[in-house]
Amino acid sequence: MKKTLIAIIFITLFSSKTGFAAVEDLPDCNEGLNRSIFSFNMSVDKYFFKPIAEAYVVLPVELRSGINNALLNIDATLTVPNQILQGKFSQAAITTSRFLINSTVGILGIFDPATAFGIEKTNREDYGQTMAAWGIGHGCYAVIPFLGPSSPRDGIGRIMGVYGDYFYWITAGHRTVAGENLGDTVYWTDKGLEIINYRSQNLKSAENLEKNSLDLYASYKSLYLQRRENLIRDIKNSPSQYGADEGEWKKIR
Amino acid sequence: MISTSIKKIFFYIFLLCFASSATIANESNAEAFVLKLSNEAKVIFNDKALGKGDRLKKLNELSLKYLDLDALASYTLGDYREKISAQEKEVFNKLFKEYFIKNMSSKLNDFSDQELKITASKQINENNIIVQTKIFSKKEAHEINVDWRIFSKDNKLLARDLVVEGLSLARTQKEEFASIIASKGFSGIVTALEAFNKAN
Repeated sequence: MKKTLIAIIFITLFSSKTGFAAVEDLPDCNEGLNRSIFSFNMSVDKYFFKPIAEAYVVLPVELRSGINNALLNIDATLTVPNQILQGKFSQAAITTSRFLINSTVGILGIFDPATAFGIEKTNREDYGQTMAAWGIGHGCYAVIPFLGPSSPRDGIGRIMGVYGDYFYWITAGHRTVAGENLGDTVYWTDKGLEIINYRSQNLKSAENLEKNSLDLYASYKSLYLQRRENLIRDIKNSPSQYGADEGEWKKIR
Repeated sequence: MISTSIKKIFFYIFLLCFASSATIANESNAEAFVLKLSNEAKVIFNDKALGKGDRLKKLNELSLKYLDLDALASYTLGDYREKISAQEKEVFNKLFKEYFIKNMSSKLNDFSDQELKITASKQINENNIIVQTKIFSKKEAHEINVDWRIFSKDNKLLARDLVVEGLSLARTQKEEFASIIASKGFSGIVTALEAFNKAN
């Protein structure tokens, strides 16, 4: 137990300094099965998630913006432990202060006064990203029913994300933390809104992709891999993100 | 001895200043290029009187002027570009250009209500400059980050890729084509492009 703890502390302190230089490989070991689940997911989306998202975008922009802010604020309860596990202690402090300010002054996170005070958003972190930062590989590409593109590492990360999220402990079940439990309804409302909010933000781009893609399954796989790479390497919207693919462009004159 | 050293120091300072001013000039040229390209694209998308055929014609002219479609076609083939003949490459390039313009016409349909703002630019190597922009939608009251990969060659600038919220359109296209080539071979990608171009 003591050795495991020392190993975790060691990895935590040094993992963030090693970085990720190369693009990760994501072999599609069960492509046939994955394609079948992908088709199933697309049908579920077409008849269930997409119509709800289309109805959701009818709501006023201000309301949707408030919901989006509140959801991002709750995300902090998952991001902070992962920032700590990755040795990003200063970012964990920033995320915590943003959470405290936005949950109180910002009325349950609906508004974002922290940004107005000059405390900028940090990158979102989850257990899949933490495992990647610790040097654990993706494994094979896997499409999960209802949830979409993933990998064994991110799948395990998702499960850990349920139990390793402070928000879960103060909402779901009958457990109490410091005598508090907000109830299952709060938990499931948050999770439901998260899906609808995400889907509504991607209505047009998903529609375009469906219309113009020659192999939709491959496009979704590529987008998933790129998104995860960006999150893991914390380099979204930075020119340094182009380093990984630069070799390929250099071959083209 | 001392004066030689001082001369050397001045020479290196001069070189450094020259190199950094050249980089700044390249970056500001690339920024102006992106603004010009986006403004001209906006004029096309705002012209509601344009029919589908005329719009495609105008987009074709815009692409020839601003985009490096030959390079993009080559990039999307990945390593497979080395395995095909010059004739096959020519066929692919022609089909790809038509596919790209039709694809772009549909993707950028909602561009007309959006405002573009340049936030930064960086020359990442000898020929490539990344121009970072934010595109703001008035209707949706939200903004997205779009980075432009601008290639500079012989004093000419051409756009090679768009990276939307960290997702490269060129890379997505390359991985999509790779999947088709892996399962159906080169003829598979030619058939798929022909079918798309015919249907759209």
